[in-house]
Amino acid sequence: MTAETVKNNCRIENKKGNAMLKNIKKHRYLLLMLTPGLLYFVIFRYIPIYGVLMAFQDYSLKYGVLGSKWVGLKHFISLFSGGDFQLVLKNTVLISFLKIICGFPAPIILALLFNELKDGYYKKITQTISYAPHFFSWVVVSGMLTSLLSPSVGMVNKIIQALGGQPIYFLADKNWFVQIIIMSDIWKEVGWGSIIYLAALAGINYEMHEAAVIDGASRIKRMVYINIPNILPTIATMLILRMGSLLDAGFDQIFNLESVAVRDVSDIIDTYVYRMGVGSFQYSFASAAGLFKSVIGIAMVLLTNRIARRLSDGESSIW
Amino acid sequence: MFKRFLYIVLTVSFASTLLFGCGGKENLGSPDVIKWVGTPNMPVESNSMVQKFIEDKYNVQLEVKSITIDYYQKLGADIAGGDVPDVMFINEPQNWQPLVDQGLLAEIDQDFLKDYAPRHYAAIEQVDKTIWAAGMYKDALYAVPKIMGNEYNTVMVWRGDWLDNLGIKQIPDTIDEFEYSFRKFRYDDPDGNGKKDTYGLTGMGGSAQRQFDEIFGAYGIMPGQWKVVGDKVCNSTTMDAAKDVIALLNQWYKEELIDPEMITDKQDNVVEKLEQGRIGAIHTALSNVSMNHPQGRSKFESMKKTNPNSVIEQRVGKLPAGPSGQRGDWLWGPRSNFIVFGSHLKNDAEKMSKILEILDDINYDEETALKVVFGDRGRTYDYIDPEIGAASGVKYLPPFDTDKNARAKEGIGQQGFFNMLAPVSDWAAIDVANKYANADFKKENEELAYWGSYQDDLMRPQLPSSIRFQGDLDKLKTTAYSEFITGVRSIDSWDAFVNEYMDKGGAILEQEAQEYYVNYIKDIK
Amino acid sequence: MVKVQFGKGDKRFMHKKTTSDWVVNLMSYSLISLLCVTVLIPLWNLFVVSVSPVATDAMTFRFWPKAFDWKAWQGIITSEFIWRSFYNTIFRVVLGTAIAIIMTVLTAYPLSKKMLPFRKLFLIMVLFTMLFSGGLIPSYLLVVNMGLRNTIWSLVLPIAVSPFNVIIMKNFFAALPKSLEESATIDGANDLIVLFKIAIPMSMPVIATITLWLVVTHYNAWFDVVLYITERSRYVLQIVLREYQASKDPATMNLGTTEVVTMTPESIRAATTLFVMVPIIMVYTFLQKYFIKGISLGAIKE
Repeated sequence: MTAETVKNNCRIENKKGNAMLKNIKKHRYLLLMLTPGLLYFVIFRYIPIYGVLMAFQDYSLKYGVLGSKWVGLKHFISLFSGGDFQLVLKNTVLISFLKIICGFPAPIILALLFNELKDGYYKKITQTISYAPHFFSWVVVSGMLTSLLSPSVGMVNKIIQALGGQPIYFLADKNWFVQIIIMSDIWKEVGWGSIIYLAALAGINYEMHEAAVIDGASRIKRMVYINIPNILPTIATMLILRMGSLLDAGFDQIFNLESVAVRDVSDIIDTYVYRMGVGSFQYSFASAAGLFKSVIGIAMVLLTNRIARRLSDGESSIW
Repeated sequence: MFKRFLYIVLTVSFASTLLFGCGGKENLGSPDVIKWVGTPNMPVESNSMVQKFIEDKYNVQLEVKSITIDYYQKLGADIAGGDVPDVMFINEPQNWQPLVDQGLLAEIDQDFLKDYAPRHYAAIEQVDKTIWAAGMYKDALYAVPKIMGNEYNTVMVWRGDWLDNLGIKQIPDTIDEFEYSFRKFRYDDPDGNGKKDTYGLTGMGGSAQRQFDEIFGAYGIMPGQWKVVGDKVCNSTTMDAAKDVIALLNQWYKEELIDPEMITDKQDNVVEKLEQGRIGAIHTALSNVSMNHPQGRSKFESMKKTNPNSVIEQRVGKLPAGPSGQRGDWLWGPRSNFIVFGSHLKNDAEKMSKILEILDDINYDEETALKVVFGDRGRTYDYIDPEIGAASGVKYLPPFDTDKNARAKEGIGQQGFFNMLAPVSDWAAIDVANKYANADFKKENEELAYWGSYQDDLMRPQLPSSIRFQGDLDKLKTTAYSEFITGVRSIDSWDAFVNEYMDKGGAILEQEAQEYYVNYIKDIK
Repeated sequence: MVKVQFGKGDKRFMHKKTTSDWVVNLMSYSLISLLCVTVLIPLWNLFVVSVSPVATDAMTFRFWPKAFDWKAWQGIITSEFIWRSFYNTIFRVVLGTAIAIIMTVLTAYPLSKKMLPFRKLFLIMVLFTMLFSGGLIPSYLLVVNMGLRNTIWSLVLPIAVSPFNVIIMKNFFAALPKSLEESATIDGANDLIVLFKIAIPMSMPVIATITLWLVVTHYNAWFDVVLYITERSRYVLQIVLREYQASKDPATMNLGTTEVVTMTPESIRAATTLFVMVPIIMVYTFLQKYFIKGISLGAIKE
């Protein structure tokens, strides 16, 4: 290595370093804007993160994280080796996937339809009504569903019988239960979920529509070729984020609606963990279950994000 | 990039663990102040009338903390922050045993308890000495057990009008009479509407305790409970006697005497089913149907008020008697919840003694009990019928009868913050509360209810492996039983069920129960 | 000065109606009406249950109550405690939402710029926290050790920035047409000015959406209040309503935990559900004008 090369290398290094500093200075306002948020994340999200270590300990309230005994993977092992874990995992993934496949498009479609309404009272009122169910608790909704689907007095079965059929005991029927879960979840969240897509639709330049109309495009064509593509980035983002909660199949809903007869299909990770008597002071076990869900969640997010990035050239993904 | 990120995260976590990871410095407060965490869900304000009363009478200072929602989460958070109460309420062993493991509770010496809370001690000895076992863990007493009251007596309630329509003169009493009536309910159109839409009975499909427990009780067995036979502890769930009753229930189901909706029926809707005429008899708490209940909780009563012309008539009867004359249903047993003490109290005998003394008085001393629970006569409460006086019962005066916050300001309440030893649905020890109880209700209680109900011979113990297995075993039991009863599963596969139950932890629990029995209970008598 | 106008009216309807129009109209109006009917019936039923005498009508759908018993509503409306907590709630919602939306915008905007130094690092930082958290105890200890117990800050700061919201908003910012920003930069505007004068006005729909989400989050939040607020005079509405719901049966909470017995009278639960919904609906109605579609870029070509 000659002195010349060394000097050149140093100069290149300096240039790189200079370039970075220059970049920072150029975008100093952006970085400034970011500071409060970053501070927030460091303080309120990253400092407490040591709590995940509880999953590897027999956590004691008295001795804290530093003082509690380390037990390695003990809690994970008891999580996975509990009698029904495989079944429970399968149910969780199945229900969650079905909810995504059926339930994810629903608010999008609703938003597209709302968008087609003429501005006015009807539109405003129906929008407001549509997301009322989001505010019902599952306790309330399950009460409604139980009486609606009752094989004896429920309206649905009365209609079935009037049409000549036999009453169906929906909530005790393994074949029907999951469908009821999916449909009621959609009903509950479709209105509220459509708001974000309405916001995305609001950002579409309607000159595009004007031009399309002049070109003779029909409403349906315009919906498909203008509206949908324009909100695709939003859809992609929502989908990626949704995949993060893949192992959340809806504890509140299932806990309230399940019955003895459908356990084989309704038992999910969260009901299983709940059954293991985890309530009070068993922080380690709950922490292990939560950590498991988080790891799977982040894997799913990364995977979906990569797919979205490939498909859209970095337009629709998170980075 | 990711590597750099990982380093940053690890550094920050490490740093913060050092800063915050220790258990909080124990915030014990001054030795003269009693940190009191009372009954959950009962709001109380600082420096309430009752608090001042206690402080004056016993010469102590109290620091009250009322947790009205998410009791255990909040308590855990407080303890993590170093704020360990001196005395607190915990409902079940599965919730205080972990606290013992974590070194947070003080051991209680039974003789010490006898000295400072003599009446409670005597009450436990008198009601059932086995109750002590419930508070024992690792060979020491860590929790003071409370005694259950007698409200949870259950009865059978019949559609009186149906019985009349069908010419059944007497309220069914034996299992055979029950079966006979159910058949008539199902096939003879008791409500005269021309439709075959009535059933005899329903069950609570999802309940691990109350799935047809009144029928099991007639045959001398109560699934889900530990039974001591001789010197051996057996699990009633898998005993042959249970199988016989299930076969009977299956028979009834085949005959359509049982409502198929038993799968989803729950405790809150069975009364409606009776009222709506879907079933003819239900098994429910006396308080739900008694017209004499001091708090007037009868649903039928409120129903009659809105619809006085209704033909529906309730008739209250006893639980069915089996072939050998036995009756009964699931009883939670005389042991209720617990009071525990923070571990630092093991070095502060005086504080513990004071607390015990206060609790004992509040529950067993009539004057103190009245004051703490009801307040001042004439201001916050009065006799229901002032002319009759105490025997007519007591009630709150407005606004204390409906306004929880007014009560919170005073510190009073029936299942109140301070009267932590009170039985579940009485406001003080039974002999105190009974002086102020509605005489008719008492009579009803004695005649109809509390009829040899079945309780767990081991007082519902928390065994070392309970957390691991109990939940799944309960699930197996309710599922299998339902399937046997509805015929989805043939009763011939009973042995397979028993084997499965044992494999899934039943055998281990049985062994642990045996050890528990030998350790804590066998020598108590 | 660059001015942005929202589109007025809906020019798309001003042409001859074709079959496609009829189909779309039919689909939209009928499906939406169907949805609304399926919501209105239970809503109405809830109301009926809330005024029905306790425990008589819980099981069946009724179209008209047997009798009007306003006790459940009376209990809520006449409680001075509830109104005090309502005021606390409003205070928390306003402060919390204001802080959160400002911080979310300030965090999302820089992240939407591809040339931000260390951008990927920051994005990973944000995303990671969406799925990993230390849990209740460490967060609790942190807030308490910061001395924020019993203050409004314990409710407002810990959830000030939601990673989910940041990512949504960042993507919206990234999707804005670059032309306006570029011409502004060429004219000498710095990043701050671009944000405030261009990006924000053009992003009102998403800002309105996230504001709505924040309002609902703060309005519904109750667990943090349980943890950090010890003075009953500082309670929020959700806590008080939950207490009200649980108040009717003090006996049940002491039962063994293996059997969950909920004996809350249906009417109380129904009344509290309805009571909670009203303010949110009012907020949305207020925010609706920001959802008007069709930003007219044409008006900006100056």
